Amino acid sequence: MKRVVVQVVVLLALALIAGTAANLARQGDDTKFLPWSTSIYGPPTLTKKRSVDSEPAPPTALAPPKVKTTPDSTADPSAVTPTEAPVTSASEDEPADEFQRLSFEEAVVEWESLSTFVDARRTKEYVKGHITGSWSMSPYEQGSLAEKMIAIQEEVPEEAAVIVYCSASADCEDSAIIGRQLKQAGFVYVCIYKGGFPEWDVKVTDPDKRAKMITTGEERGEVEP
Amino acid sequence: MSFLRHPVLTWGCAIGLGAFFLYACVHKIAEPPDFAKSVNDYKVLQSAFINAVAIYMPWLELFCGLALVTSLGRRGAALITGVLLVLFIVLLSYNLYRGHPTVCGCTMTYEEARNFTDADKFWEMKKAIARDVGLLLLALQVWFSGCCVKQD
Repeated sequence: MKRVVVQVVVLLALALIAGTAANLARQGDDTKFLPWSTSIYGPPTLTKKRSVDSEPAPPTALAPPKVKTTPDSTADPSAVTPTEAPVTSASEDEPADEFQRLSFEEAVVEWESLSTFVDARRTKEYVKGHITGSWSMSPYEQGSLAEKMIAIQEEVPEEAAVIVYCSASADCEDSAIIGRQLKQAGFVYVCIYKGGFPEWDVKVTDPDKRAKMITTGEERGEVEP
Repeated sequence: MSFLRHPVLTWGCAIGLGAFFLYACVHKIAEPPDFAKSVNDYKVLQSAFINAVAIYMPWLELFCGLALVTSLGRRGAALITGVLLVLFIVLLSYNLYRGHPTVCGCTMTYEEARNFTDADKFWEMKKAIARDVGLLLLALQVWFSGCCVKQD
């Protein structure tokens, strides 16, 4: 039995040393390095009520404003003015959480209004294609997250609407994590495009529109009003 | 019942179990952020521990896999893998029970599971539990037949 204890200790020690060394070696790679501990993921609670007989979702507390460009602000995506609350298509079976969910049509309206979009997917997915003009900000690439958060704070006014999207999933977990970070950074109107890039990719079919609305590579791309 | 402790069977179980863990750790070591996403997806761990699990668990799987395959520290590795498998079975069962679809993260990357519906995820979770029960039997065989591995 004593030998087994020694074996277990040795295996645990080897894993500890190798894991630490490997993570230290990745420190220069923002897309793969993980800090040893973080509070970014939030508490381990489910964001979606899934039981059939659960209570209906309460009305959303936050109503992000629809944004409209001023006549001479079309070239500057940050120069947007909140005007009115959008009409949303939230249904009763949607998650009861702190973010308003936008449909494809609503997301397009926001995009055409030069709202700020944030892509919460991994960089490797972002470079394959993203909504033109969107910032890349994955919650799992924490090495560069603080820098990106500072950059977006410098460029986008806090009262502007920010729409976060990821790969479509039932609860948009990654979007919610980034959404909470944006709120903590001071952004007031943060909402989630629930269909995410997969829906955008499928629904934007016209070649001319695709060229405008989808960008590949690391560049965010210019939004042409 | 002595055939259950036959050395050939023990070798087969150890190599099978070790090979599985070696296979399972490769993508986790290559892409720790993807594994962190899987760990977070279980919704059972406090945020502070998620990255640590994503950083260290794949390496623990690697060394346990190597120990099982090479027979160096085989019983210790069987004990650790057995504990890990029980943990996976409990967590997957818990998420099935509360209706939370989870990408297991055991052998499948998040990208591979990107287009899964909730129903697909639940089916994969059931398959993963069945597979883990099978692997747990292998770990138990290696553990209880440790006497027949002559290392000294």
